[in-house]
Amino acid sequence: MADPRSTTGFPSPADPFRENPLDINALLVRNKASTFLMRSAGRIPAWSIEEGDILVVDRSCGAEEGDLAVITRDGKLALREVPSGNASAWGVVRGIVRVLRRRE
Amino acid sequence: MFALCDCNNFYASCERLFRPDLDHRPVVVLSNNDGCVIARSAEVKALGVSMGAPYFKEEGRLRYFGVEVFSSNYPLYEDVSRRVSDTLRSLAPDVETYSIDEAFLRVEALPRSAADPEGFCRRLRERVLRWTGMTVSIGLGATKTLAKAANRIAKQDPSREGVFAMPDGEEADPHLEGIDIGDVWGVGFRNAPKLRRFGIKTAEGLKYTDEEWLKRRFTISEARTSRELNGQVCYPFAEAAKPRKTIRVSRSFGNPVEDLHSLREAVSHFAFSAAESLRRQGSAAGKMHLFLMTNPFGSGPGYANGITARFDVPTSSTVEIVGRAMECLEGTFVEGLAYKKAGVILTDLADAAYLQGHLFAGVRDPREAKLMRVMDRLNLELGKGTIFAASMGIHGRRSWVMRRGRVSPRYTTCWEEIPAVIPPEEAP
Repeated sequence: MADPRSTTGFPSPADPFRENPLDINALLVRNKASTFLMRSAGRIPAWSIEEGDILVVDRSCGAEEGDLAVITRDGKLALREVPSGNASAWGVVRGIVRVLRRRE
Repeated sequence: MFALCDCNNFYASCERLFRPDLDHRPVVVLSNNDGCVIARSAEVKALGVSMGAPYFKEEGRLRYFGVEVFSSNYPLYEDVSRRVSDTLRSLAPDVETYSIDEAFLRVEALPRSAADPEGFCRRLRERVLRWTGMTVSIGLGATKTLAKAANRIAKQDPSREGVFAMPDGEEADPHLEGIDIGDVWGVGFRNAPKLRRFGIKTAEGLKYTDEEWLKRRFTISEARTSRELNGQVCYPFAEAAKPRKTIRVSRSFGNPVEDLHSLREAVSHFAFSAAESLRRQGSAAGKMHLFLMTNPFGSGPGYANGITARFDVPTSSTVEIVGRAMECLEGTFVEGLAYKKAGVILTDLADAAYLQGHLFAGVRDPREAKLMRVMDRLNLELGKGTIFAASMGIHGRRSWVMRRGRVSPRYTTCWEEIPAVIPPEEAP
């Protein structure tokens, strides 16, 4: 199908004002090549993260003080708030995704 | 100038990406059906386990040295490969993905890189490591063959730190002398011993061999390789992959298969998947070949047979391709044998758009193309197996399915299998 916004009768007066619809992907994923999704194995109240939340982790930006970073702890991927002085990290958590369900 | 960027120990590195506990530990990856070793981490190479070694022969040694063994996880490797390509494209506009773990780049296309191609490659290398976790080696050269040779040096000589630029002219000779003729890109394993017999033992030797003589004694391809070693481009940059001329889906079975019912399921799967690949590249098939074979090394009676069928009108329809595969199977199947392998090969491929638009307009039901599009989209968006052919079966247990006893999770392509991350430690 052609662009549904192209009209066959009168040209749309909205045409010059056309903008792209909002895209959740663009909001959360700045860099597709370096973004990985992970699942939080527990609650982190300070960051409003619940167990099972999906974390959007980007490897392309360096971890800065105050970021929530994915690091390696005891050979496992773990979360850590970056203390002062940049630490090397696996990646930085850029967002959380949760599909809402009513608590039973 | 060309650069060849190659991921080091690619499959093994992919297995480590979400498993930091495997850093510096030996890792191998096995082929389909866990048959032989197809990827080794540096530690395993040091143990002397060779590429292609049968797993059953190496199993004891691998266990003794505590090697982590993985079945191949192609969904993961494919995803990481795409990320590496995308990362390269973020800095270099011209990227030719050559294989799952190698890409050629055109370097002169970049004004920034022209002055300092090596520095540019170091930046590329750092970015790929940071973004994707993959360590790459990059070789630079005036031709693809020279870039490939430079890549070898970048990988093997630690002092190069993963990047090596092949110098021009005679300055390249000392480096080319160190490269065995069998390791030169484009020299087949069959021709290497033959070249050696004529005293051509290294890349340098081939570089200074007379081209006409090579054409006479060998093929045009050896002559071209010699030319490329002299810095003359014979293999230009090819950004878009050419559509494949044949599509083949075949597998060895995890366990021998005797009954027609199971074979039908297996062959349906192969035909279904071949039809999907066919549509992905926009082709239609004129012919199909189906083959069946027993284990040639097994104790039972040996049998191998195949049938070729022609489609009246070239087709990309799953319905037609699976249907025809079932007919071919009836024609080849012999009762009472233990089959080890089967496959479907689609040939005489043509451009589907051209066929539908011109020659055979109206012959085929147009609703069928639409149906295929919808099916492909559903299987892509909702996951493989959302829509499938009934002949593929719905049982949980299939004896013919590949053995993949040690496969890692599909970390990046399946919601249920994404990696878990542990919350921060409580402050003491």
